[in-house]
Amino acid sequence: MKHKKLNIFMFALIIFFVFVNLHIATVHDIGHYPIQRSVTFNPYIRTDYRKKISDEQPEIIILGDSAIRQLNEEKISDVTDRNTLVFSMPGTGSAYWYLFIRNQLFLADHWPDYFILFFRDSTLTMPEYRVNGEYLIRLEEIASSWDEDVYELAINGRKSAMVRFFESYIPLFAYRSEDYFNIIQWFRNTLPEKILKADKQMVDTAYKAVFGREQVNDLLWEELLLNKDNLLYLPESLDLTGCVNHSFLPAMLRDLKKMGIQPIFIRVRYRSHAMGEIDQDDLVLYLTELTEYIENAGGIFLDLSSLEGLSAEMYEDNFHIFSVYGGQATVIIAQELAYLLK
Amino acid sequence: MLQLPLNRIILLLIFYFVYWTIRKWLLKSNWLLFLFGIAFYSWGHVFQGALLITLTFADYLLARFIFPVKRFRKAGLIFGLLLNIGLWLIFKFDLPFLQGLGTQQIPLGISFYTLRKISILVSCHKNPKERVYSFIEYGLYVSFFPQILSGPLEKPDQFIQQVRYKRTLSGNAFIESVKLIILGLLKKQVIADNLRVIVDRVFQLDSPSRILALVGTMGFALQVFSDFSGYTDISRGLSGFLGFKTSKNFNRPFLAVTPREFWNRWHITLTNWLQSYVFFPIRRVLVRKFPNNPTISLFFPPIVTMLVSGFWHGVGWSFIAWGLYHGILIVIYRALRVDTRLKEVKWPGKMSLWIISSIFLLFGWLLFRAPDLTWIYKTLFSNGWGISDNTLIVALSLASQIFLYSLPLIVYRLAMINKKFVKIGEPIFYAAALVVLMMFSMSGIQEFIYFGF
Repeated sequence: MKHKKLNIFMFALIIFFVFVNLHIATVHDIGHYPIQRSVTFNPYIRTDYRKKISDEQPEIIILGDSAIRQLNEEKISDVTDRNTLVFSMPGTGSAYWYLFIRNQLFLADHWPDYFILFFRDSTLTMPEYRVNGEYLIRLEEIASSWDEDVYELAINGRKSAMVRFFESYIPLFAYRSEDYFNIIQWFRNTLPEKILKADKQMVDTAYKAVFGREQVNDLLWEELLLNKDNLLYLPESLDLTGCVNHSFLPAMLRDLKKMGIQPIFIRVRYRSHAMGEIDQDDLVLYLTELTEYIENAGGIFLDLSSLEGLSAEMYEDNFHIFSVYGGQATVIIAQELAYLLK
Repeated sequence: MLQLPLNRIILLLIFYFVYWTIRKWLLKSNWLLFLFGIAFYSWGHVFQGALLITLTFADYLLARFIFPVKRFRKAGLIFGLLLNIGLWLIFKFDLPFLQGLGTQQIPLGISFYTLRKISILVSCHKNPKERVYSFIEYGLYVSFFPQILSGPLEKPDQFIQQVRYKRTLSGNAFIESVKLIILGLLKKQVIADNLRVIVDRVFQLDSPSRILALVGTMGFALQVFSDFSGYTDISRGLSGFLGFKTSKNFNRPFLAVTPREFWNRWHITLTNWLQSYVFFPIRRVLVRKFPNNPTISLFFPPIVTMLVSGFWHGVGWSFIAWGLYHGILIVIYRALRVDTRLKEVKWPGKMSLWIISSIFLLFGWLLFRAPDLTWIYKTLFSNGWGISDNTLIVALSLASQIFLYSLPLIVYRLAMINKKFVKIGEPIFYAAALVVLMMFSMSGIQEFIYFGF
């Protein structure tokens, strides 16, 4: 690029930059600087979970994602001799679990003695895990407008001071995610609308029908899940010291202890464990540090990855137990719990 | 190299500063480049770095001390090839004893640096007295950090020639490098990474309709091109900042009118490598062995060469089938003498040829990306076209998004279309590319935007 070209480049860059920023400032109605974006959840919040807790007055509450969907609360109650409620919430992560503690458990009329959370590997210190798209809809169910801090940590994620600075002064930066979303949505929805008269809802329905779980090859589905979970095993995700203070774990431990509830964190066992796969060194180190952190804060940590009773054939995929083995698996896990709660 | 954390970017900048500060002292600057490359490569993968140094040193000993001794020369070459290809195969096929070595991961870039090592070994073997390289020259050729992960595959002489002389960085070369990096990032982070989300979903379907498979395959062709040529651009830009001129790897491959032309435009340096070390040696042997049967030496080498290419690209029958398919395509076009008659063909004929070849090449991409051969068979012969409401809506929607991601490449090509317009079009394109990069790459890839999942 010769001198003249460089001038044209700089001129074009300034024009584009100014034009795009002005456009975004107008579209998003930015009134003042620095740009202050107060984004939070909508005010509606479901209350049936807290009502259930109030009505049933459990001594133990168990929470987790779909990995615990076969846990049978009656069997656990029998084995542990404590009234137990199980909340298996598919597609949830630590943001959901913290909101559940804050907006369902604490606002119920009864508090249990034990709160048990089943989690997978680094999910406890990954606030941004499972918070977008359909996951956000789940979060919205149990969050309200007062949960601005949760929104900030879970949705806006960890941002450097530099990014925050740019977001405060450059509209293109502040609204980049929304504009990226809008552009893609426009291309996603416009052609079907123009040619087939299919509105956005019809496009969404079509995507669900074509790419739904039942349409995906079983092996590839598992691969898809594993790929989605890749971020749990990135070096930065397994750096407990770097992650823990930017996660919901300290607040969970602090708040539960303050309310006199004993927090118990249980790492689930995968089919790969049952097949003899050993955790990688960096994950082992992370879990050692996590155990220490939880125990120092007054929590209890239990790792089920070496629980021999849960054999490979009991799993329908890497994470989920077949329903026929649900009862058997529950008893095995409940016995571990009973031993722990003695 | 593309998703570098801030600390590594800072380290890279410091390196560039020191590199140019000591540019007067060629040897020191070469050693710095070599050691930094090894350190950069070994970061978090110490075993892999140690393996690279050990193998490079072993090769160097062969080239320096064994090849000059006539009676050991052939044995030395065979040993060197077996060592390099053997280790590559061991890692590629994940052989069990790797666990004993404390690694199960395939070393980064091993497929590429093995080819570079073969190039230099063969080159030294051919002329051991003329091609006497110092360890630093040898080591730099193998481990040059902008190229170690994915090429381009430079020829040893071309590269080492640059190592032997002081490098300079003119204002124009600097700007060219910046342009390459902007273009590379645009292709990689905006186009390829977003397309991957769409393409992966299509190929994860158990039983997609033909129309979806078609759209997915088109998306995949664009994804692979953007990913790989984007990487090459960035690599060339980084090399440019070091004062090195490196080879172009892509030359508008989707405009090729025959499969052979496609391979002369796609991953050019690999094609050259395969020609030099697989195609021509096989043909020479066949011509010597079957002097009266030119058909064998005409048709057999392309098939073997493309089979080797398929085998190099990945593990599984799909890759073998892909290589074989391309080999057969080249042979058919040769038998019909399409390439040799191309000059006589007028534009409507060329257009028809382009359409036909594009369809053939698209099928090649389907072979490359599909989970397995059964999947392809089922999709092509058992599944319908899928013109039902939902599939058609999705196919149109995906096609529209693929078009969105092909737009920057189309605009780039238009900006370069004639010399007069380039003066204005090119700088405007790069300015717009920077703004798009800010918006798209800084947002991160958000799969839920596409699929709501």
